[in-house]
Amino acid sequence: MTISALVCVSLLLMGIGGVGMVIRRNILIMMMCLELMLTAANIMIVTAGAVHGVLGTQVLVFFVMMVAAAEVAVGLALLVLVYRLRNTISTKELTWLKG
Amino acid sequence: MAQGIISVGAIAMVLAPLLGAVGIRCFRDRLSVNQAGWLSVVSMGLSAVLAVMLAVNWNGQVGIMTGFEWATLLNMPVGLGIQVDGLSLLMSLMVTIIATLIAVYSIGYMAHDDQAPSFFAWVSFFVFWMLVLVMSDSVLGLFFGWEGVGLCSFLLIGFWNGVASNQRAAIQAFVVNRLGDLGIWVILLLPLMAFQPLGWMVLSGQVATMSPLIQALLGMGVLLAVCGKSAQGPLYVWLPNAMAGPTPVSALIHAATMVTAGVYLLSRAHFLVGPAVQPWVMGVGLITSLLGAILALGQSDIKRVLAFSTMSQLGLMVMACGIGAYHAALFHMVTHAGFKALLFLGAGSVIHGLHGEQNITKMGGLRNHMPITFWTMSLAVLAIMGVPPLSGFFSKDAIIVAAMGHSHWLLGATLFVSLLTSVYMIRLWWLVFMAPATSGVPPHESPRIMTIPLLLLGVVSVVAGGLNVPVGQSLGLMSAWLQPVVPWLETPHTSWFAMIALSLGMAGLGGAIGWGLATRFPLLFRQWFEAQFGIPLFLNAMTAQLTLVVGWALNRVGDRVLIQGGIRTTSWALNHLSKRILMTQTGRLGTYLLALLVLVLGILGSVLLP
Repeated sequence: MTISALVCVSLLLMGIGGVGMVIRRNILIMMMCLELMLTAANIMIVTAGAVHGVLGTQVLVFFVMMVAAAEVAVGLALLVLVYRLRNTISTKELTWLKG
Repeated sequence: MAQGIISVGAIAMVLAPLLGAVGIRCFRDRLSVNQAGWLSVVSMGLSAVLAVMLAVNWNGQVGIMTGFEWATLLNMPVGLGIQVDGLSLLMSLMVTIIATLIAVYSIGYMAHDDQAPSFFAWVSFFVFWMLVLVMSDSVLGLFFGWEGVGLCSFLLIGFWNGVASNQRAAIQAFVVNRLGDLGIWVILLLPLMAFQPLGWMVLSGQVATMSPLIQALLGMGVLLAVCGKSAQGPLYVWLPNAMAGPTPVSALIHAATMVTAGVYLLSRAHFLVGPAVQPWVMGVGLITSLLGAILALGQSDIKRVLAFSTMSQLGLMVMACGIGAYHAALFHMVTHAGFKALLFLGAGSVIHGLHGEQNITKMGGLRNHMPITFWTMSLAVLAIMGVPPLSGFFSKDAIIVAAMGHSHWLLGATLFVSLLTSVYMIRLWWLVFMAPATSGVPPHESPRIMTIPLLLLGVVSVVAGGLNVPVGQSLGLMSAWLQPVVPWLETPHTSWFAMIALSLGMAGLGGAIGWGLATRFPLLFRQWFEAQFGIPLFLNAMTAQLTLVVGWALNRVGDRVLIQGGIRTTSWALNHLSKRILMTQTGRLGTYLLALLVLVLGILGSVLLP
């Protein structure tokens, strides 16, 4: 398990998450992609901590996980509300941002 | 002390008609025609009495009373004041006396008109402005008077405004006069811009210090103003149409007083008309007098004959000013005011007696029905023909002698004009009074209130010539008055006998031709004369129609292509651009996230790569 393999996995997850965010229409999937990106960031943080011997990064990862969990809770709640109002969770139809 | 009395008198003389006008105007609904008329007569008569008293008590000096400093323009104090000298006294005497007589006549003439109180208010108002015009000591005061008489002329030409052609005539007179007023603007603004005062006396001393270009412009400004007000040159077109107004107005404003303001201006501002401009003044006057006399030959409307005659006589006066014979011009102006007012009032009496008929070919035989009108008008006809010893003889002689001193061809042209004068006057006189009667309605002599002014004006037409008859080596009374302010022109000496013979010869020859015209061809080339040889049409095409064409072209090229096209293209381009930009606003999360991703990658790249 080398460092380069860890960085590669992290970048791969980040890329999958980013591309998924852009191309997928389903907000549920998009939130999952968001989680993937956060996980990629977490892997990168602990890898960097291991390389430089900084223990604080291990703690930081728990903070990120906690924020991610909170965000998912709020996001899913919003999603449920949107579904009730609009009967859809596809970004193809949810274009309220359009001026 | 005497000076103070004179200034108070002069101011009272100017203001009396204004008071009358305001009074009549305010109470016009409560005044009867008679009351309004007599109020007007009293206000103007007071003016006339004051003018006579001023003339009698005048000490022969130029007196300038600055009323008040009105404004400071370009650091020059501009005041309104009154100037009492020979010229202004002569003008105010002429204006007030003629106006009073005409107002008396109008009481009879306008008796059946509901609007007559307004009429008298405007007439008094006109006299006030005319007095402002002639008594002012500066260009500015003259300008106010100049505009004021123009306004009153407009109001009175269109007095019977129920008829569209009357309104058109009034508007035409006003607009053409405004064109001439440009000239007044020139002589008002150029001295100011050259930091010169506007007072006549001060200005006359300063003209020599100005550049030749400014001097020429000033002279041309005076000429343009004269053309507008005195119906000279191409700007004559309004005068014949101005006959739409009531006949007393034609007599007062469009024959005796307002139209002579041009001659007054030429004399008052003689120092502005330098040797470079004088030939132009002479040429314009000569051409106008010839044109007017020729056009008068074939008119069938009695007032139009007199209008063209007025134009012709004014042309003679302007021509005399152009050769420097200011005294002769002013003398002719005074005598002309008398006999032309009489001619117009006589014409009005004829029209009144025939219940509105103005066509001379439908008149005839009036000498038996209207004896007083007949005899007074005959007197005026003889006076305008220059038959001695009536007033026209002396004044026209003065102009002929001045023309003789200038050149032979000018003498010939002047004599030709006076020959034509006799032709059209005798034609008119014969057709109205002597020809066999054709009208079915029996005419009646006008009431006494109209015939008494006729008789008084008849007296004026006879004796006014005595105003300026030189006795021995001394100047005539009028010339002695004018001498300090208006230059005197030396003229060749001629014998009275030769002049009398010449005048009688011209009158006789012209009269014979006129009689021949009246009896044989009363309506020769009628359509040509009615169209005035197409001159108004031509002028219309050259001014109004040309303006319309230029405006149309400017609209097509300037407005539609340049301005509208430019604005449309710009707005079209902006519209399309904004539509393109709007296409990025999809409202889809994916698009925004992509943009965000590209931005973040771009920032990362730009930070990390170099």
